[in-house]
Amino acid sequence: MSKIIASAAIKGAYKIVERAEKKWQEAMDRWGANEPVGFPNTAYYLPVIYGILGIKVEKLGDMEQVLKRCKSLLPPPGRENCPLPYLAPALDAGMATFFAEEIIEAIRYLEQPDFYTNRKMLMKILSG
Amino acid sequence: MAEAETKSIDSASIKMIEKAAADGVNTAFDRAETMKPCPIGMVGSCCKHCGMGPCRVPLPKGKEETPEDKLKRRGICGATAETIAARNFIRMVAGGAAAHSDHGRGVAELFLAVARGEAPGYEIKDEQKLLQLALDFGVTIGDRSNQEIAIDIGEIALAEFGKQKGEVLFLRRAPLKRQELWRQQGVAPRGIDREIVEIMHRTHIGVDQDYRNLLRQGVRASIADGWGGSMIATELQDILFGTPVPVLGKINLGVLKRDEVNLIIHGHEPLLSEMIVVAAQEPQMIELAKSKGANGINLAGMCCTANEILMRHGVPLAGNFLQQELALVTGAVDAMVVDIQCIMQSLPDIAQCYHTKIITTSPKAKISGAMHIEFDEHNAMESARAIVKTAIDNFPKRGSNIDIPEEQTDLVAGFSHETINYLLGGLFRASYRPLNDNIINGRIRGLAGVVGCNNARVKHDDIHVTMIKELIKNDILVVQTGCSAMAAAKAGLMTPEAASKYAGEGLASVCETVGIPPVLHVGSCVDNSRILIAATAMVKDGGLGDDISDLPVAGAAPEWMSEKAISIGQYFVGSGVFTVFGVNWPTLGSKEVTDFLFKEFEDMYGGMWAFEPDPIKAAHLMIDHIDKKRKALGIDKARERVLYDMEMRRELAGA
Repeated sequence: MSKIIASAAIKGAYKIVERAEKKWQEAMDRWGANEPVGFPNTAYYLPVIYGILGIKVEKLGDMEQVLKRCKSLLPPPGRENCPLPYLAPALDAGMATFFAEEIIEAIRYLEQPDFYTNRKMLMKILSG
Repeated sequence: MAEAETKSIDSASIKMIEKAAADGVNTAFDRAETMKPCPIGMVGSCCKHCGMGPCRVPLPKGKEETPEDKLKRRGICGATAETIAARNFIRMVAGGAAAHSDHGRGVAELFLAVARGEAPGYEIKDEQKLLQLALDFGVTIGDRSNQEIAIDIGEIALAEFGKQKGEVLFLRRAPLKRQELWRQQGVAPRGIDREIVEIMHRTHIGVDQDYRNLLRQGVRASIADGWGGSMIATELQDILFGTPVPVLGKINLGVLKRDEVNLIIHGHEPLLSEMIVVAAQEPQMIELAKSKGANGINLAGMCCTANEILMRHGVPLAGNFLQQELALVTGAVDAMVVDIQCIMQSLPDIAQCYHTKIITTSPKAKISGAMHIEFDEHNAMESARAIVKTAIDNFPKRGSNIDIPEEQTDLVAGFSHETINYLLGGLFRASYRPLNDNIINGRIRGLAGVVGCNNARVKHDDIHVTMIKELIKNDILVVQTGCSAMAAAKAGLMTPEAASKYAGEGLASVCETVGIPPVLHVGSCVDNSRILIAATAMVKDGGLGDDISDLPVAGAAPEWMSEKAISIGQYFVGSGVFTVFGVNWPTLGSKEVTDFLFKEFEDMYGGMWAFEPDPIKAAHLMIDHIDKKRKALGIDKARERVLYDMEMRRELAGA
């Protein structure tokens, strides 16, 4: 069971990191590396990334090193028979997901600054 | 057929024992049949330390010894049976500690040469470990280059061998309580060589004739091995060649290939073999092999050199100590290159029956009849290329009498201390906490280090595998090194799938969660120092006492034969670990000496020796000891979980 979960988590992490990279590339094309990024009312840059990696993401261009770190954290997919230990790689993949999600979220603030304040949008999300 | 089956549990080995018989080749299995061990020497009752002897002082046969009999049991010089048994025992410690430590010295010399830029081809691969060692040795890091730091580390490491006073530096890595105990008992080693030399002095005729005092020096020299020479070897090898990480490997004679040049690397040091791994991958070497009709170059390891290159490169293992002759019997080994330790002198004789070239490489270990290509650290690549070329050139000379057994088994290896730490929490929460928690909650009952050799006096691999299966069935996580690890690997115990097949429910659940086998391959025999570090990490993580002797752990070398095994066992005992040996016990000629090692040592060191040749009984001695430690820690019973309400909390705060 654990092997199945770890393997699914690792596959999921690949997808989310890939999504973050795509989002970032699009944002770079649109706004350029010097575009400031951050969350409103948050003093700690992108706080998960800053708290765990110590990287201050202030501009779009700063995300590149975080994405590189995410990729370095992604383990190779597990083998079916005689797999190498998977718990720690799965946990690392989880951390990569954490950072990638935060990047996606920060880019969302660029794309839709009123995402969480726009009542219509909120209702749309809540109603599925 | 039936006879060969009594000699090994490994079917590949059985086939080759039979082929050897058919080919008229004499192996260790035959020699063990025709030559029985000397019953007096076996129990430590023969002293040949001077020209008046050898003096034999055996126990009377078939009756209790009377005080009068005992008085007669003396050498010409007056040495009692106790003195003689203790002398013999600690000389074994000295032999083992010298072997490991001289290996460590060789690594330190190479390390220093690399740091000084005098050994082309080598580099510092593990920077993090270099800096960790700098902290341990008190070397300034600042903004100095790795090379400058490494020079200081190399000089300090090398000086450890010849140090005359103070303490071996790595003692500081042990739990504080253990360090204090060593000082109180007077067994904190001053320098590595000094303690070994002092054993040779004290066991000379007419010097130390108090068995307790002799055995104390044995402990001191063994600690100089485990926490000195061996630890230096492991740490510096990791910095130079990389700290092992989990790696998939294969083991057994089936890894030899019919259509490729087979080069076996045998012995204990990874210094040259690291370069052979590189040389064998060079395009010009592969081309040369093809020009001789081979499809490639197949490297395989044997004994602890094998463990070293498996852990770092995934190079397959051909087998353990008792398979070295059998590998040649396949007729498919084009060259066997050897470095130091556990290399049988019979190899060149057996090689003559086939086509194999036996190549010695160490100036310390030459064998009559073998060719010698000396390993020169300043020109290592050239030595490595010459060796690989010799194997390639020999490929066309293979005869037709070739039979490679098909047996090969998957294994996962590479469980260094650093790796275990990582595996339990990932990069961001690496720690031993989950291991300790699972020991405390009882899923894992305890930890056992099962290590050591093969011994032709017992059925090859059988004692190891039977003991290990019994341990894991009882939820004991097993960590392994050396030839013992290879025995378990061949039996399929080093795959994650082995957990659900062989381990108890609790251990299996932990293994499944982490994705590890129930039996962990920790490395070569100098890498037993990794087990000391892992045990210390368990103590430091908390909840399992404040010394190694408090931990629910035990050690064993069920098929031991070398002096190194005795030194390893002794440093485990001296570090607080209950340790069981099988096959025979070299102090049985003296009840006092044996009792001292088996009983009184526990009061002195918290760890003690035991002897039990039956692997199931030995496993249960270990389990009983582990249960005793669990009880002392108060973790022998599941604790009732109580949900505290506010009132109860106030009561707690008031108390």
